Amino acid sequence: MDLEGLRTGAEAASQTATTMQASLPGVLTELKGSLNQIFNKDNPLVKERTGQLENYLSAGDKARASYLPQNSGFAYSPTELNALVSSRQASALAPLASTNQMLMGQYGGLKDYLGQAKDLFGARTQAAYENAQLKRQGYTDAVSRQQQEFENKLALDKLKKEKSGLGGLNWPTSKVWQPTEQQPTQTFAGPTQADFKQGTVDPSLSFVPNLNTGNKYGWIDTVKGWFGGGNQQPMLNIPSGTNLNIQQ
Amino acid sequence: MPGKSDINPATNKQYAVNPATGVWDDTYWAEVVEPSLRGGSGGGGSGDFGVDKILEAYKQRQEERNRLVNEFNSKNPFVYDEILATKTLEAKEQLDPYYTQTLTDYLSGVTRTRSRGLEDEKRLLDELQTDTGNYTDRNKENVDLALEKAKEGSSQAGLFNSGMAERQQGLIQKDSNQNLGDFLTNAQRRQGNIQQTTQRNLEDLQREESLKTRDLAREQSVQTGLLSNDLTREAGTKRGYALSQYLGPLGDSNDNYDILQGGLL
Repeated sequence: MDLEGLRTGAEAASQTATTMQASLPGVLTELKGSLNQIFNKDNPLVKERTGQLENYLSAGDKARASYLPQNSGFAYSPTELNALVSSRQASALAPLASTNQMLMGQYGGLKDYLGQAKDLFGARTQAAYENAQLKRQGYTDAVSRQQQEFENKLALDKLKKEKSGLGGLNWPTSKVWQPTEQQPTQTFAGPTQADFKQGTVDPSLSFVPNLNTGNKYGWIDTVKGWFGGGNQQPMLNIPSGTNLNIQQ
Repeated sequence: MPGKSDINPATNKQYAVNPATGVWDDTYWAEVVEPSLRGGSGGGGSGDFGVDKILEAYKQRQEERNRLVNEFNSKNPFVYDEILATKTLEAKEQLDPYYTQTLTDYLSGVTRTRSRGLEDEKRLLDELQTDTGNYTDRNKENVDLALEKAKEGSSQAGLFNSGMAERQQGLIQKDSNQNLGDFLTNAQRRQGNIQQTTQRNLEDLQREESLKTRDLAREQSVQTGLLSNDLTREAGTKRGYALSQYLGPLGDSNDNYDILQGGLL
């Protein structure tokens, strides 16, 4: 099991999620700028609008000049002149308004894009966080599993050693939990009361390491207990004076 | 201690921890983290936003839109001044019949008035001339008759060749000439009045005709200008609508563009 790889992966995922979160405003700003840039680049409608706007802005002056008596041959009344100039401006406004409306419609969609992108990026950031959490959980599980296996092995070794040293105890190996790949988190329940018969077990063996203690009484505490250190407490409390008889 | 991603106070740039060195690094951010976030390596992965994919899809969409607009413009060029000139001709064609008819009707009235005036003048002058001729003839006859009677009277009185007879005949002649002169003077005055009135009427008519013709031309010019501007405005609006139709879904809004599908059209 590559714990280091899992750890690195979890850290990388966490960093990615954090980085995504931190960079979200900047990415949105950049996206907005890039969309604007793409929209404006070589856009014939934008060029068209520029020309039409210039034409519209100069339409009034051009019309007044063209309707002067020396240019048109007629001395228009002020009412006629106003009507003609307004009409010319309106005619110059029409294509500009059409182009403008089209551009505004297209450009306005960019806001929709940004809104959707914000939601999308937010969801991806959230997904990155969840991914990081899963990887961290995976790493934590792997550490716990490895710790559990180590504790189980130590406990088994100790039992075997004690059995061979005292000579009177035949611990049924079928009761010793063997970690398997299929049951990585299976806990060891320990011997049941039925496994013991009064008067057949040395009271000094009343302490059986509990393999389901987690961090509270981990393998370090167990090892310390063997060497007289720590505050190791027996996890299987057997009343004093009880004779235990473990069945073969 | 900064977070996992932050702004480097020294450079004021975004930076992140480089896992290889364990050091906060601007370059690592710029070259590794930021491109990863942009999604340049694949898009849609857990560690990026897929921005490049979105931008690429949008770019394709925009380029297609630009291509269609250029294609439409090449097929339907819209140069305002040219359109205005074309529409001015159209407006003239539309309005010319009305103004031609109006002017023709008016000018025919003027011509009729003018010819009637001249006819009236001629008739009056003819009548006057006839009256003058008649009067002259009658006057001559009257003189001749008076002279004859005076000669008869003088001869009956035995004064045929006398000075008195001569004097009486002279008085008759003088009186006759004076009456004829008065009549002719009066006739000349009447003739002058008739000619003057006709001339003035013709002058007024000419002035009215020129004013009316000018006003009609100006009105036609105004109406042509207004109509041509309206036609140009309509052409501009129609062209915008046609372009919108030509672009189809790319024409107006982006409502049908779903960015959540990774920018698929």
